[in-house]
Amino acid sequence: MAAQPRIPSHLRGLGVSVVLLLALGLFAACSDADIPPLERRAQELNQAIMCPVCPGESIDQSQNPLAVQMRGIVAEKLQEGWTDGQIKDFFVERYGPSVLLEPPASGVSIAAWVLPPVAFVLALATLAFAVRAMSRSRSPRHGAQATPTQVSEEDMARYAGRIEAALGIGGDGAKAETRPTDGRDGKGSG
Amino acid sequence: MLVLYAVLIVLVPAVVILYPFLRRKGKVGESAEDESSAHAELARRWDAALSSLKSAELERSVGNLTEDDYQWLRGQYMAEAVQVMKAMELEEQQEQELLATIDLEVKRIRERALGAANGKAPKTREESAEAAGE
Amino acid sequence: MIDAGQLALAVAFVIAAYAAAGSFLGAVRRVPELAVSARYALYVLPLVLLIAAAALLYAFVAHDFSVRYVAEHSNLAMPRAYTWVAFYAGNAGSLLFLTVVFAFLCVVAVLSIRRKLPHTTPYAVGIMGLVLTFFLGIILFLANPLERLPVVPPDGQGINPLLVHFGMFIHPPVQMTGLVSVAIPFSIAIGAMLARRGGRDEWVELGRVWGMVSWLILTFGLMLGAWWAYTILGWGGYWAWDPVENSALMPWLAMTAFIHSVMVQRRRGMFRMWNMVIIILAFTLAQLGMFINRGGAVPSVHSFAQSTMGWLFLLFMGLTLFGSLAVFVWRMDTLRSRERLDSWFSRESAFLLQNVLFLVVAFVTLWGSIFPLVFEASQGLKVGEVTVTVGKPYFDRVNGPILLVLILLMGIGPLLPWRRATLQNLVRALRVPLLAGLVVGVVVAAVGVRAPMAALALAICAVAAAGILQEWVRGSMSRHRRGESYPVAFGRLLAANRPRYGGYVVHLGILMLAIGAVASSFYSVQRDFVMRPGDVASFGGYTFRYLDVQRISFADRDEDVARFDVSSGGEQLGVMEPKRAFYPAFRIGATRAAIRSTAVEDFYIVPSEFNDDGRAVFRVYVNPLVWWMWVSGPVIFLGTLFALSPQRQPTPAAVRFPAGARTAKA
Repeated sequence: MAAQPRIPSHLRGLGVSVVLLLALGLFAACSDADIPPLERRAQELNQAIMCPVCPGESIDQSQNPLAVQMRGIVAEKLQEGWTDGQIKDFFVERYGPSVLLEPPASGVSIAAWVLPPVAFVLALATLAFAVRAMSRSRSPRHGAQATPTQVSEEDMARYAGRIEAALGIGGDGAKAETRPTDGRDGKGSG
Repeated sequence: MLVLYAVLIVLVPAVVILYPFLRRKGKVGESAEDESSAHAELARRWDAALSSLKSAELERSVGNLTEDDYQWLRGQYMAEAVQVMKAMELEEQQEQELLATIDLEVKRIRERALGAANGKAPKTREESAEAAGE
Repeated sequence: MIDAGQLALAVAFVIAAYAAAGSFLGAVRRVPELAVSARYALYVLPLVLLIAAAALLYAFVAHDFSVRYVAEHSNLAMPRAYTWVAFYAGNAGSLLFLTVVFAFLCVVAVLSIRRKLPHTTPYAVGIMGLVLTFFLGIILFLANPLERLPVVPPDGQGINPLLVHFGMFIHPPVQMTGLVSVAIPFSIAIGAMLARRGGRDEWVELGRVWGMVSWLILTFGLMLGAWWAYTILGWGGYWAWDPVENSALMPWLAMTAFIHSVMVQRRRGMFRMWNMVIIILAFTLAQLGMFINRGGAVPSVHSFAQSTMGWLFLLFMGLTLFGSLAVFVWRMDTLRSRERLDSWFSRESAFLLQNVLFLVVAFVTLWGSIFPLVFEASQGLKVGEVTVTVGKPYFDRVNGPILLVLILLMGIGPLLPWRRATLQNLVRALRVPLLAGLVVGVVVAAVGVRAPMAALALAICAVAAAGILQEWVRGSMSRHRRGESYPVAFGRLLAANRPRYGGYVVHLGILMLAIGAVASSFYSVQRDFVMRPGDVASFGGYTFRYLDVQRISFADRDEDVARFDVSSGGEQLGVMEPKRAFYPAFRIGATRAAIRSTAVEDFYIVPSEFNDDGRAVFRVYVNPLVWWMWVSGPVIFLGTLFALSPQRQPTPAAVRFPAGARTAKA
């Protein structure tokens, strides 16, 4: 009878301390420097606005003079108290909606945002359907698919033990002899 | 110089490509195991059954499989493995018998040839078999 | 020599076409000599291609500017070491490189399958020949690297300076090799279907091996690209979800799905149809990646659709996609599974879920990449008038959650046995991992008051880590109970279950990657500093003094090298030298960040501007845990090797006639 492995207490203690150490390490790594909130907001905005003349790069990344200028405008407007949305609209008015690195969540381009979660849900639904279709009936023990031809008791008795010995596994959880189970054939090398 | 290159680049591949058509018919293909032979299929099922057994035992010993589930799976896999083994035994047995029959035939033909040369009467199959010490 | 190279290209094209046609004909018409001859043609192809490649290399080394490609990608001042990079710097050269490497891979692949899959091999050879013929046709007729110029210029244009970095020595070749290598498991799978052996699973063993090889190369290509972007492009990040990166990512996603679901087919004979669909998808995406990732100017989605070559690639992609789908439908009845799914909670179901999620990520990535085109079409605008941008923030927000679910699944998956699991068991096995996640999440959230998403992400990583490690512990302990000491138990556990534990090692590597990515995405900080020589500033626990800037002139560039004296907590850390180079010939500026990397965080300085009055602007980053991302590379590599090492079961003979008297007491 195989005992359910209960992790012995010393290992459990070890496990907990490992977890705590991990958490502490992560904490150490993630402690952030002091950045004034306005500056942080500026950085986030900069990363959301594209430099119109360097396709694909945000004004945060790019060193293009126009990008530098736009960063200056963002900082200025934040000082004046504009909200993030207002600043974004400001740029959209001048350069068009493509200046934002995300498609706007309105109009036709809402399709960009809607499709991913829809795809996710559809995929899960299809999965559920497929799993149900692929599953056997609800009586696992005397299953729908019995072994094709019954193997005789005597054959089982003769071979089961030897197969398990060759694999190096015990029969019914009895303490198997310690053989090297390196997967090679029964002539174990020890 | 270009001529030398041209010769190399065109002729060498041409020779390699034409070689299979030109060599003696005696060398039929290399002896490759037929992927679809019954034996190959059995070998695959054997491997799958054994690795599943090993896997299930590992999962049981680690605690992911309950004892009931394990016994059920073990029954399935073991039956499969034993079935495959019996099929392989049967196949081997048939192969042995076939080989033995062929051996016998060859001996008979040889003896007949020898006997004809020496003017003796051909032995029957049984006599040949006895002589062969089966 | 150049003419010899040209001849070699033409001959190679003919050989490839023959390999394809001869192999198919020989198989269908049952003319074995023809099939063998076609296979030999495939064997000899790399040698012929090597001659063409040698011709191009020779032209570079001898500075033969009569060859257009050499004139465009090198100059007299270029050090010889860069010849290697120059080879694949442009479109034509990279196509040739791709083809040569692929030809060699094909030979190795065919040698490996020839004996084990004699019926499938001719068809696989045929497919490989088709792909080779396509590439060689493009090279020969549209993008010939050995094409000559009517007038020989005195000097060449030189190599793009962004390419001159160690990362660029290996990233493009590895990436391209990875993309083209997807054709190999594809050929084996479709070849098996054509040979009517798709449903008999013979091909799966080698299909799995080549799938994993291809996956590994793709993984390395992506990681090297990220590493290069981080160290050389100087924006503090490593992945921007731009079209080039996305097109390389999508086949990787599909291949990750494939290598898992093919395991189910190997073990249970299930998912036969599904696996065919996935490998077809993977190869289609790989072709997309190959085109967009070829050398030359980084194309956008728009330029792809506008070039002639683009149309030809699309055509070939369509051909292979619809052709293989047609074969799939034709042979569908040979692909019925022999077994059924036993339970919702089983490793098989987990793999199916994983597959689906990976495909959703691939689909979403594709959707985001082509959305600008879709949008324009819907507005009736002409292609080229961009009005919508889909950039990094979109992909982060949309793909991030799904990837997190996948990470969680990666940690829970090992807890699920094959065929069926009992819910109570699973819940009990999940106790420790969930506890670990909770602790980590709470600690992180309490300390760094940031988006809850960050804490959740790290918590999920902790759950996954604990889940995987738990398997190692419990496995070792179960052997320990049978009398082995812990180290021995651990070692033997790994050795006896190499595919499984190799896979777990790879998962740990992926976790390291994930933790690094999550930490640096959420917790990176940056700041701009305006400094004069002598100024001192501090940020994120580091103190740095701007010493000076020196201008150094090289033959091809002018460099401004800034020097910083860096310390932290009173301890001297050394001098860091971020620099900025300007290449007058190309009118490109390139920055080189100075990075001090430890296992905890990266301290990263990059120069933004140098003004004449002595003031300079520097951007300073502190990026946590990035080091783990690069270290995961070797871990993943070793894990894959381990998982690929063959693990043979005892033979029937060994069972029937066990050596000596060793029979177990059953």
